Amino acid sequence: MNIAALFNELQPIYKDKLLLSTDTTALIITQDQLISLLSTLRTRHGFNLLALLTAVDYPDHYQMVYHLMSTKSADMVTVQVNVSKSSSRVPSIVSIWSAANVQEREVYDMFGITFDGHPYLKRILNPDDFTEFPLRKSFVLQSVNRQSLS
Amino acid sequence: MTTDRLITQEFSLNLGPQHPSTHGVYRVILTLDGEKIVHAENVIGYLHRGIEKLAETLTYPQFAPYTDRLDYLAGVLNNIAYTQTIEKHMQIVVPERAQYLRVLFGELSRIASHLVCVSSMALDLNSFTGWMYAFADREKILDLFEMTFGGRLTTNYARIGGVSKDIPDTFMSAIRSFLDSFYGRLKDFNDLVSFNQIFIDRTKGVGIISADQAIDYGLTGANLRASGVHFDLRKKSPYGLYDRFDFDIPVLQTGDCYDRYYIRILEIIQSLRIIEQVLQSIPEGTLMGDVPRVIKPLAGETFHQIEGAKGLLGFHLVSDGSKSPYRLHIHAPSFVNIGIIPEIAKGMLIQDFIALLASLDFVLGEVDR
Repeated sequence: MNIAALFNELQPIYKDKLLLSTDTTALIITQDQLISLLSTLRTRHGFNLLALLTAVDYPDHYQMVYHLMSTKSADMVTVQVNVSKSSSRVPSIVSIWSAANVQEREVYDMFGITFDGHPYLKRILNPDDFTEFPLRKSFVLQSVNRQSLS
Repeated sequence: MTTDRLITQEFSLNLGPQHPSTHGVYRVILTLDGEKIVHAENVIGYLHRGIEKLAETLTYPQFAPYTDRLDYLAGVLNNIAYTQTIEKHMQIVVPERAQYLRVLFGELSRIASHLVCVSSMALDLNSFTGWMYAFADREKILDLFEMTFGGRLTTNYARIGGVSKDIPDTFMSAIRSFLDSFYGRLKDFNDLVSFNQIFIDRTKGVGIISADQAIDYGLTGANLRASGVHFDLRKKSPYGLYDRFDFDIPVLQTGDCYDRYYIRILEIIQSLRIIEQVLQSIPEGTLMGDVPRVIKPLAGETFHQIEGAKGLLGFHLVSDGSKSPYRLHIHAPSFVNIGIIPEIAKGMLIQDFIALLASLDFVLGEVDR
């Protein structure tokens, strides 16, 4: 499906809260309309499979990325939400897809983004007592000096 | 003593991470009432190596071998998914012969991975002989890998723009003799395990996942198709050369452990069909397309996914125009597939739970990344 056509169809509903990304590959929505947009896409437009959920750490904000897919036609749509670094909060979409449960936990674990409404938000891949958020750009990989270990 | 006066106490039991039927370092905390599961909680991350973070420190070609370590039972498919993502982003054209070789080894990987699934399931349900049969055949596939590109599990076969090695002269006769014997072996395996009454009793009607549940929990691959959803990316949205081959997508309706098991046998047969067509029509030609000396994709985002051995394997690449990815997210099918375990496990007996774990066919290299 053409993203631009979908955008034109949805634009009257969400007005200035919905934008098309500059490379016309993704819909950008504000946080307060995220749940509404994703459930509309799932129920009315047939995008019934959550194909990917992740985050990207940009210098001035985080960006949540949702790739939705239709199991009937294999059409895809990408939805993006910007998350400010000061709040690091975004609504959870577990109510729409149970598949988001583990994937939001992973994003929380790696980026420290809090999902409001998530039923069980705790670390999933890193140890529970780990204090860093490793996929943030501020977390720099560095080697430990061998001598300092001994 | 009547049962209604029997007071039972719930207790917790740790299954894994070192347990033969958890297929790797998967751990689940079970709360039990007698033998019935009241609550299950997945505990994963024992194999977490931070592959996504490592990707940000490596150049694009350097990262390719790391993809073998995701789903290490089907390394070639991971290589293909990664290299196709870069190729899609940079619009690199891959030569015909290289594309055919990718399909050939990709499907062989799929068969090898499915053989591990069905044989481990037999082993978990007490059929050691069945396990030996399928593993012997998987060995022969790994021999074909070794003969061509040296690696058995850590394949590193696909390169950005093509593949690393051509098939040796002896390959055609070797794969022919493997295929000729494999059809008979598959029949033997079916007689031993698939149509074995004990095996059927242990798996039929156990761990049923409905189509709606499967989609809600994001299940993909054979696990989704066993629940009656006709969804295979090779047919629905063909990538590479898959639109050229004649094959069917098996779909089963019940969504129980037996269907999830048997659909893999059916998929092996379809993969064999694809392989036969590749062997008949593979053209001569070069193995590498025109690839810049230094891989520096333009700034932008690309999402690419393929039908991996365990389900939809997706790579989300964000490039800032430098030599290494700004962000590379790997959507691993096993990671999402095991998210359904706590839901399905409720009310199951422990022995059925083992069948459920085996039938979901997850691999921890991919779950933990």
